[in-house]
Amino acid sequence: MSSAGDARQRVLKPVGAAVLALLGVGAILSGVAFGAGSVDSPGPGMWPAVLGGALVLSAVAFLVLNRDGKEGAFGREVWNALIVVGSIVAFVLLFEHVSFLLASVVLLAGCQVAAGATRWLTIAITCVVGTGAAWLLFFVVLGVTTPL
Amino acid sequence: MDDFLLGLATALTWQNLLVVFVGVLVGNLIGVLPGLGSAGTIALLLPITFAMPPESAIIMLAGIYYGSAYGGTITSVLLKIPGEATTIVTTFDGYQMARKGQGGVALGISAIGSFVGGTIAIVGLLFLAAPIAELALGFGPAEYTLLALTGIVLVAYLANGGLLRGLVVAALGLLLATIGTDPITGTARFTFGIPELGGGIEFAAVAMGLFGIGELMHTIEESRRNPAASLEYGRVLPNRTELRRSTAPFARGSVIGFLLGVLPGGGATIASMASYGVEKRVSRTPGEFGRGAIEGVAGPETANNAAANSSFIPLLSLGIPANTTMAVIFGALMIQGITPGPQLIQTNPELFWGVIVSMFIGNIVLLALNIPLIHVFTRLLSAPMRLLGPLTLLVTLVGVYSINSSIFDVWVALAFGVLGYVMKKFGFEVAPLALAFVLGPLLESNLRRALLQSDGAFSIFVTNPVFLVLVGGAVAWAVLGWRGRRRAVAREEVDVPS
Repeated sequence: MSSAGDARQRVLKPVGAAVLALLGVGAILSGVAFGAGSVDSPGPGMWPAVLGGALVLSAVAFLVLNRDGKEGAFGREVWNALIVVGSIVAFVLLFEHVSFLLASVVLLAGCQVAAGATRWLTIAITCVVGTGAAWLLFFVVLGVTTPL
Repeated sequence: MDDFLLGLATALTWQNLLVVFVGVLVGNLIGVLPGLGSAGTIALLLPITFAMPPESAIIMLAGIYYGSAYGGTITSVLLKIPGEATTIVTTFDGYQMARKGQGGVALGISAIGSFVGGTIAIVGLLFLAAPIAELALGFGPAEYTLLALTGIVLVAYLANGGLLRGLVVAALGLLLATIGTDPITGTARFTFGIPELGGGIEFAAVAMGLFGIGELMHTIEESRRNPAASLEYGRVLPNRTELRRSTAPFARGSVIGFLLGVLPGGGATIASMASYGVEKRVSRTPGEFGRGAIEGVAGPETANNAAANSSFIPLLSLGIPANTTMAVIFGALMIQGITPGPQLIQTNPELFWGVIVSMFIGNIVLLALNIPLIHVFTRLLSAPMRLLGPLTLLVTLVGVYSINSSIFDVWVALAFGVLGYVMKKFGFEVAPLALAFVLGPLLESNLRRALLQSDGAFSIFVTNPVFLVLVGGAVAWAVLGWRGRRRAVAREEVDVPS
């Protein structure tokens, strides 16, 4: 692995293990709060507490045993993924508060740019055709109601 | 016989003939396009099935499953890109055959093998599903706890990232499944005052997030570096010599696929890999493998379709999904108000037998579609994913919303999509999470009931016949694996001159 990859792994691996451990501790505490009960009469909190314990143990095992270095798989392409996520967030907000048509156009345009489309005419045609087809399928044929 | 006739009557209605055709066709098309797998496609199409009768819905979803198992073969052979995980091994020899101008023959043999494997598995399903369901009627909480646990552990064990990562992901899936109202006491857990979480997280949103949005994010990312497709494949129908060489692999692949498909946690991917290993081992010319051996295509392609069909046995007979696609179909049944399990054969016989018989028809459709229409499917390979990816994403998002007309479900799907994307980047596979999420409520409620029944004594599990069978299976698995490794080492020692 490159030195940049090593450095990334040195940071990401403990961070990943810490997130898992935190989740586990949260589950244990919540399980106790729900009422863990006893082995002969398990309460609603027992199973989450057991799973929380398993997560804490696996976080430790992950930190100590796992040396495959797969934590360094993030590269520049992550920016494209962020554009996709941003487009989806915009889609959901616009769909809920403005209109499906605008939301769909924003989503399709954003994702095509993230995927490397450069011809604006192709992007525009895909936006119009895709939005129209989805509108017809869901809101006309299947009778789905919009949130507005 | 009456049951078979009932299934025949259900499967042969024009509506069900239409849905099986549509299912196989859609499965084939999706399988051809790298990115969205069968689980994602089924999750994506769930909203369309809501208006259908339950048997038609499941017949269509089943058609998508085994249709996509074949569709993935086309990209494996022509592009060396497996459209589905089940066709990874087909790239080894199928692509080499394509480089020699025999891509069409590889695809033709795959179609015939898929038909043979699928048909043999359906015969097994026809005879075994009902007796297993009858046996399972006597199962109590302890047996179900053990079966659910075995399914989750096996999927974690077989996950690409390794056992530790698989178990971590499975534990996360089980924890996420506890969100909502406790099934026994009615206590609200991890709802954080959000009313939508009271009934738990919608499984369709989880599946569409993990397998739809997460995979599409990768596909859109990957579409920047998709290689150009070579669409030359030559003749499709195999000659007599090629068929003769493929006969024994067809037979062995059918048996291997059927057996591994039935196992909880097993499935088409491992069946195809096991079949490839067996074919290479029994071959008189193992050196040909990896250089275009037709047996290396015939066996695995037969096995993956046999396993895709036989994996319906644990779902329909026990209510335990054997893999993630079955988990999504399990979710589809629950949405239709049907609980899969041993009672299904009595409460919904038309669904139980109709789905099984429709698979016969689906396999004939698969063969009939793939040999004459191979040209149409290969043309699809030139469709740019930078256009198809965003369109599929739009349909996925509106599809999630349409399940309950809920924007909250879309946020949930987005959260799981990002989780799936990040997990893949970190080398974690999402399959154990999805399966654990589906089996979580079943596992927890049966575990607690079993402990209540036994006054907290864990002997209720270890003295159980199901436990003994599972331990026996694990020991046999370990011994066979050890012997296989020993033989491999011995062969290497012979091959390496001293």
